[in-house]
Amino acid sequence: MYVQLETVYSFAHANASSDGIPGISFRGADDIKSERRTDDSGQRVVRLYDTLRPSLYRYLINSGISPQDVEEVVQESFLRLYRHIQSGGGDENLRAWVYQVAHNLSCNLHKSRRRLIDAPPEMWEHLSHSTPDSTPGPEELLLEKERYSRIRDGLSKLTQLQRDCLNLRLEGFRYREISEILNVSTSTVAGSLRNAMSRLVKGCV
Amino acid sequence: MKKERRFPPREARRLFDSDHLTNETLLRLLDGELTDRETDEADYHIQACWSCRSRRQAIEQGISDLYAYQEAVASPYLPPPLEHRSVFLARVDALANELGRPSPFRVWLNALYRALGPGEIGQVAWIAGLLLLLFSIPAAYFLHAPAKVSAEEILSRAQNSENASLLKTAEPVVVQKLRISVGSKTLTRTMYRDVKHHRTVSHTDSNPTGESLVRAAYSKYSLDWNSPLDVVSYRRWRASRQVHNDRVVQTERDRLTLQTTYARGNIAEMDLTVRTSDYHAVREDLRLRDNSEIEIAELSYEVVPLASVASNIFELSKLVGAVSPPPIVIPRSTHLDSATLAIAEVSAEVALHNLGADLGEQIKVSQHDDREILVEGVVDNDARKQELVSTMETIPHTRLHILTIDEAARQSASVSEPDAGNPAHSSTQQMISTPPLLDAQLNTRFPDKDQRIAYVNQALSLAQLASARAWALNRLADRHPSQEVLILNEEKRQQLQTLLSDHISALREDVRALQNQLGEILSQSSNTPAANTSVKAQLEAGTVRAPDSSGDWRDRIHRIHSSTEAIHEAVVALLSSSQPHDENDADGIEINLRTSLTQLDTELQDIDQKVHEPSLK
Repeated sequence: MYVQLETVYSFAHANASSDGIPGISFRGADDIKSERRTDDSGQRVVRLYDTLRPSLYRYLINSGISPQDVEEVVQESFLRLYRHIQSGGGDENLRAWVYQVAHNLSCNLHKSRRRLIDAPPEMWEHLSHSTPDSTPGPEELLLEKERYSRIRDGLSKLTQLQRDCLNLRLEGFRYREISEILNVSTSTVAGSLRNAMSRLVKGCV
Repeated sequence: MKKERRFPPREARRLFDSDHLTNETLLRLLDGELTDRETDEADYHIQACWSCRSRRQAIEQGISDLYAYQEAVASPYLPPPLEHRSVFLARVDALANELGRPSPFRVWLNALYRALGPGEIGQVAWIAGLLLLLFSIPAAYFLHAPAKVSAEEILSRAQNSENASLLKTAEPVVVQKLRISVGSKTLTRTMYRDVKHHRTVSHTDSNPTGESLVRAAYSKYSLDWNSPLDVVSYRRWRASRQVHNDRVVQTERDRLTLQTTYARGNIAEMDLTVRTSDYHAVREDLRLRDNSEIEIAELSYEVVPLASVASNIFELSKLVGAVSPPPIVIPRSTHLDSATLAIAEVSAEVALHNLGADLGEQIKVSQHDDREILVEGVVDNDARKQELVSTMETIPHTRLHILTIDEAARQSASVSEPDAGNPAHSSTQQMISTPPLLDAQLNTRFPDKDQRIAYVNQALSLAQLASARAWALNRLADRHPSQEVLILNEEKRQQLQTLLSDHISALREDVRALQNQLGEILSQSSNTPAANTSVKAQLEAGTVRAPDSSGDWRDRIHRIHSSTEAIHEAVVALLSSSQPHDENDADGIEINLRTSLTQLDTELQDIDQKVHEPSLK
């Protein structure tokens, strides 16, 4: 049974709480309870899975994880969350906890598999033909392609830490949360983001 | 025109590079990571600085482009495929089965953690909770602390508790087991205390040497060997000393201890511990001036009826007079005047009376060669011997010849003559297999055999006790002729009167108890005048005459003794299967027995008044 989620993501206020995600509301909680998992921990994990899965997917794709591996990383992250809750672990800011686990798993995956630092050719082909506007003109298409090309080039010149900081910031995490997920200081996060944006945005330096 | 900064230079340097906001400041401003004051300062600057405003717009555009790019990259894969969800649910189920349900304790712990977690409860609440806990601990302590009681209150309650335990039984015998430790020496002592008749017997699990050491310590510190852990004795002992400080503390959950320190004497501190539930004394600890200690701990305490203990437990050895015990303890030599000897004899008799050793126990007091008072006899065991010795040795001009049964038995091979005057002995010459004269009445009144035996034993015991009392009185009458009483000083004369009075009172109680006991069976027997029998003859011979028949208390006591002995024999004849009598004698014996008991009671009442006269001689 699929639980239909209605997601309205707010970039500026995406601060995690223990269970619910600010800016995200969902329907079908009763439907979830009616499923086979009768213990509270299982229900909570499934609820979080349904809530966070799309954004975690996007984060992992943008972190260079191949689409074939993303689902495995996501599921493994939530199964570890279930173990964490069952063993009496703290449940504050579980969203950040899940991202941290997913980040670590993706790092391990990078060591054993080829990493997609850049968008693969087929993806780039897709990007070349896609436009945010449904009725793009030739000039807009050209500008869009140029813009994506510039971002792509800029990203390729960033360090791994800078890319991670950018990706997590795009997911709405505050500097403090990013520092916890990546296990670095807040000032390091701020510096990484400053340098990353300096490279991506012309004329900032 | 450039605006003047509102913030101190040191803080402003973090936001500005030269005259413009840094890239990091602009980014942090967009990300909402600046403080309110920094945000105000940065916004104030941007309003006036075109350069910084354009750079901010560039960064915003860069973020927008980056976001659009990332969305474009990920959009082909979003939303995630639905089929993976069912796989995830199955994996969660499998993991749940693998881990099992958490224990209730774990669930409770997790719930507690969540309830008290920093996300759920504020710092103020934590501090308030800790303060509450800190205050609740002493509050709980005071709420559960026992009510304060004074030393006298504890002692009074302890005494009441002991009295209450004795009142539950008609003829209580206290069976008490104690562990007594003196230094490194420890022994277990079992005591049988007949409260009504002031008799005490005891035995220990220690060898004679060990027991002697313990008893010597008792004697040294003026402690009553016969009344360990006895609240009445403790209060008496305590009253004779100067108490320095009293303190009542709760030593265990259900124990209160009265810690008393003394200003003088060998004993520095004496602690009496009672149960809080019934204030029964369970322990005594004595700390001496030399820092050594004596501990008396009660192992068991039981109050049982006299009838339920072995009938001969308080009886004496049959070996008294059968041996010539070697003299022990304190030889004395020079000839003494009659007054000194008489005083010493009274002192010895009082001491024996206090030890319960004058009720037929095989102890004899006599004057020896006008030089000393000789106290000789045989006692049950070494403990009793040491008790007697430790008490009697302090009496001047007294020589002790005390043996235990074992010691006497080893020397008894060549000796055969028992003391004919001893009531305990006379009560044992019996057991010829004829039924008791009142056998039929007994069977009718007590169909149950056990009840019948208990009744007979109790009646015989009462008769024997009365006989022992009368025997003790008779001994006193024999030992204190008029001329000796006259030479006693006032103190000793009063002691002698008290001694006589004690025995007479006790004998009256025994006689009345015997009357009541026999009333159950005699009322159902025949009331026909009986013919002369041997026992009847004895009864008549010993029947107490009119109270005013003699002015000398000694004569009266002699008659009381004879009468009591006759009553004793009559009771034995009627209830015991040991006396070969004609069954026709039963009615006569019974009638005379009742008459004798009544007259004896009257005589005792009269003699009681007589011995209290100040002019006793």
